[in-house]
Amino acid sequence: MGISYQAVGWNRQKRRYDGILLGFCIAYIGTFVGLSLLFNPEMTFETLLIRSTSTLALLLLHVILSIGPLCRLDKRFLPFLYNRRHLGVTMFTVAAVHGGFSIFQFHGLGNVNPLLSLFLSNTRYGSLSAFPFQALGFFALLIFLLMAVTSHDFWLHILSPRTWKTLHMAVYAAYLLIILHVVLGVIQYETNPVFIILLFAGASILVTLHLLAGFREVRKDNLHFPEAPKASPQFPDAPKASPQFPEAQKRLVQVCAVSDIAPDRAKVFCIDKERIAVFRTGDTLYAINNVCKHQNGPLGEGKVIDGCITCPWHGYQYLPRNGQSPPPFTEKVSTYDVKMVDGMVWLDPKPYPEGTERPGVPIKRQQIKQ
Amino acid sequence: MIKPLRKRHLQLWLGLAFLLPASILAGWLAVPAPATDTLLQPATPAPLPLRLASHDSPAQTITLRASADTATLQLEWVTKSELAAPSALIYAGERLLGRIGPQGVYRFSFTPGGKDIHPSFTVYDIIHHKNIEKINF
Repeated sequence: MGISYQAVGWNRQKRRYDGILLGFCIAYIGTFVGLSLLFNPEMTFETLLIRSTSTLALLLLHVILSIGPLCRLDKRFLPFLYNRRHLGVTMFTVAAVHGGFSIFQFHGLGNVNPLLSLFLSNTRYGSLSAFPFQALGFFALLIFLLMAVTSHDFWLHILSPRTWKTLHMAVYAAYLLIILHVVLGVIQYETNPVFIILLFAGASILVTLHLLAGFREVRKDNLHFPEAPKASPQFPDAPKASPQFPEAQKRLVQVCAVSDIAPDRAKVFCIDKERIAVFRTGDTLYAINNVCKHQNGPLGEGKVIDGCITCPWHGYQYLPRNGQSPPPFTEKVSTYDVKMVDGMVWLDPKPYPEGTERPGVPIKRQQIKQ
Repeated sequence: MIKPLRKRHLQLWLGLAFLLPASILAGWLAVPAPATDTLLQPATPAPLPLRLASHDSPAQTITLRASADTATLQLEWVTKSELAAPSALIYAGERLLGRIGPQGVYRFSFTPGGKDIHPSFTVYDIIHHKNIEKINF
C-alpha cells in the first residue's frame, strides 16, 4: 500500500516477479523462433513475430484468468494474485506487438488507411469460415488497452473499487473475442487438430476453475448459523444491550468454536449477505468486515502481520481493534461485536461505523475445546 | 469481492460455459474441407504409335502423332526449359486443346477436322493476351 501515487509500486517481490516474467517471455519467443526456423527455414521475420507474440499473449491470458479462481480454491496461489496486474500489462504489450505488426503486414502496405482496410478489406460478416476475424482481435485489443491504462491505483480510487472491478470484468468479453478471433482465423487455415484441442482444453480449464470457485463461494454465502438464546440462566454470558447499541443481544449468531480459528488467522462467515472475518490474534478475538477497501479483497483470507490484519491481495493493512489502517493511511472498515461462550464464538452481524474501536473478546484458555 | 460482484462473476462464467464451447465447435464445423487437387486438364495420355512430324528446338520438342488408323491425332509437347509465359493455352486451329506449363510432357489427343490433317497450332499467353508461337508442320 502507498500514500502517494507512483508509476509502479516496486518492491523486491515485484522486481523478482517481473524479472522472471520477462525472462519467461524472452525464452518463449526465442524457443518459438528457433523451432519455427528449424522446421521452416524460409519463414519471414514478420511471420515469426506475429505468430510468437500471438501464442504468448494467448498463453498469458489463460494464466491471468486462472489466477483468480485458483486463489479462491487454494491460498498457495495468492502470490500470483499480488502481481497479476503486471502480468496483465505484459500480456497487453505482447498482444499490442502482435496486433501492430499484423496491421502493418496485412493492411499497412497499401494505399488505404490501415484501420479502414482492417474493416473493409473483407466484409464477409455473414460467413463463418471467411469471417473478418482480425476485427475481433482489434476490439479485444481495445479492451486490453482500456484495462492496461486504468490498471493503476489512481484509477481505482477515481472510479471506486466496485466500478473499477466491474470495468475490468470486460476481460471476459475480450477473452470470448479472442477465442472467436483464433477459431475463425488461424483454425480455419491450420489443418493440424492440435491447435483446436489446445484451445478447447484452455477454455475448459478456465470454465471449470471459475465455476468451481463460484459455486464454492455461493455455498459459503448460504451457510446458516444458529441464533443465540436471549439472556437467561442457561446463557449467562449473552450480551447485554447497551444504550448505544440496544439491539445487540437480539442478533447474536453462533459461528464456530474458538479452536476452529488458527492463531493470527481468521474464519469468514456470511451473515445477512455480509461477509465478516473473525480474527484470532494473541489471546483476543476481533471481528471486522471482510472486504478490503482497496480492491474488495478478502481480508479474512489474509493473516495478522506486525499486529495488523493484512489483505492477501495487495497487502493493505488494518488494525484488528478498530478496522483502521495504521497512520498515515486512511482506509477504514466496519467492526463487529464478538462474544465467546463455553468455547464457542458468537457474532453480532450488526456493523459499527467504519473505524469504530471495539475491545474484542479475550480468549479464556480453559474454554478452548480442542 | 463483494457479493454482487461474486454473483456477476458466476453469471458471466455460466454464460461463457455455454458460449466458449459453442464458439469453438461452430468454428471447427465451419472449417472448409481441404482442397482436393483438381487438374486443369486430364492426366497425360499414352503416346499414339504413329509419328507424323516433329519439330525440335532448345526450348521444346513438338511431335504430331496419330493412331494406327489415323482417326485420332495427338500433339505431343515436351517443354525442355521454362516457358516465357507462366501458363499458356494451345489451340489446334480454333479448337482449344489444353494448357501447357512448366517443364514436362503434355499430350493432347483430338480428332482431325475435314481438311486439316496437319492443322496449325497456336500457343496463347492467357495473362498477357497475346500469341506466343504458331507452329505449322
